Amino acid sequence: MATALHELTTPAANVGARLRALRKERHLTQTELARQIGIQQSDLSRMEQGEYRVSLDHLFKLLAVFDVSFSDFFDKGSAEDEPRRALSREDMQILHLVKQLSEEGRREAMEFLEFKVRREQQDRRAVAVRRSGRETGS
Amino acid sequence: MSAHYDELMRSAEAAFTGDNLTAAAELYQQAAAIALEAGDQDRADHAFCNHCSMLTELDQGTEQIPKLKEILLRSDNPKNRFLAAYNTAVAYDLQDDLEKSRSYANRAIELSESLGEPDLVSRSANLAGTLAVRESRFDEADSCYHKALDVQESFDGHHGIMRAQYMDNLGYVMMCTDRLHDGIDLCEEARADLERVGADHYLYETLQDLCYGHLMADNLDRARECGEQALDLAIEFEDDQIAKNCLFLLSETAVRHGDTFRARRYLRELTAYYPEVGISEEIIDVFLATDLTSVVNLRG
Repeated sequence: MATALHELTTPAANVGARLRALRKERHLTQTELARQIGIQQSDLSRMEQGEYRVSLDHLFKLLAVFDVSFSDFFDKGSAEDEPRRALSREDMQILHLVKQLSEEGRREAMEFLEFKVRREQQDRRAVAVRRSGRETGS
Repeated sequence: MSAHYDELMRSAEAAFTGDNLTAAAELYQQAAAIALEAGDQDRADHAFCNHCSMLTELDQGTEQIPKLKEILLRSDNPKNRFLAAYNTAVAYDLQDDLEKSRSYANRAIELSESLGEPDLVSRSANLAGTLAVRESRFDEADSCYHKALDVQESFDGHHGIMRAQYMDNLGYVMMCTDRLHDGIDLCEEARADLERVGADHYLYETLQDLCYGHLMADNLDRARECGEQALDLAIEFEDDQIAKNCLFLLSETAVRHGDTFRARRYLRELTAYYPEVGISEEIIDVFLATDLTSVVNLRG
């Protein structure tokens, strides 16, 4: 039992499980997906079981096949069983940097971050207004 | 003819040993032409197979497959048949046709064993290992590479570059199969040998593997040093595959260093190799958010 759990939680097994879920969601058979990315069906099957390491070229072909939703594949696919993915490693890096600051430094960083957030919100609103103007022909 | 042929073959061998593969390929081609002109088919075939061997080392030569197959069928010289089968297998591997590659590799193994020449036995065992590792059959690759290395070390006058390559291959497989430190030690030994003979053309793959090993062992400074050196050489030798692998490994090294800005720079360079996918920050975020080191096969 312990071994099975360990196997299921290896990075390769996690990625394999997410790949399988995404393939099924797209109603693709193993043969179809294998053909699209240029590997054997048996290798794709092994990949879904976490036994097959994929080349970077094949990984990028997978990115092309699954398009944008590939981020779900890595980030959200196992959110329930892997809550640590709620924060990305980049998020953690930012937190790590902030933790090293003095009290005053933190306050300045917070002010800067709040400024950036407000600025981006304003930019997004401006873009939305421009788009809305084009759609209404004004 | 004989003296000129022998001289060309010696010069080609010296060029190969000196890591000048293009010159070696040309010299073998000249030797093949001279032998053919003199009506010596055996020598022409031998030189032609060596010419193909140099081309495949340079990731070329797939267009020579029909002629290699012809030699395999026509020649009554078992060594030339071995060389033809071996080079056909390598050429199919370059074409990503692993099924045909395996088939000719098996033929090469049979021929090498019937010839009983240790150098050929070790070369075909190494080829079988390379095909196995491409398909993530690491246990099989481990046994093939062990055989290649053991046989290569068993005879006098073994080829230093080949021995180093076999050590590197075995080292990478060990790193992938929970024997990280033994794998790193083997690759470091291979690196020292390749640096000693100045075989830069082979060195960068070893450096790439060392980057991976040190990354997995959390020796991040060492990983970065090996990865950057490998990347520079891969770019110099126009080896896109290794360059891409190095960018991927260097990005992961940077992430673990806590330097996501440098990681993004490497990942932008990596995604530029895939124009069909495009440079998307979302893709870069996928790589930043996910540790894919144990999912990616550097020899895949």
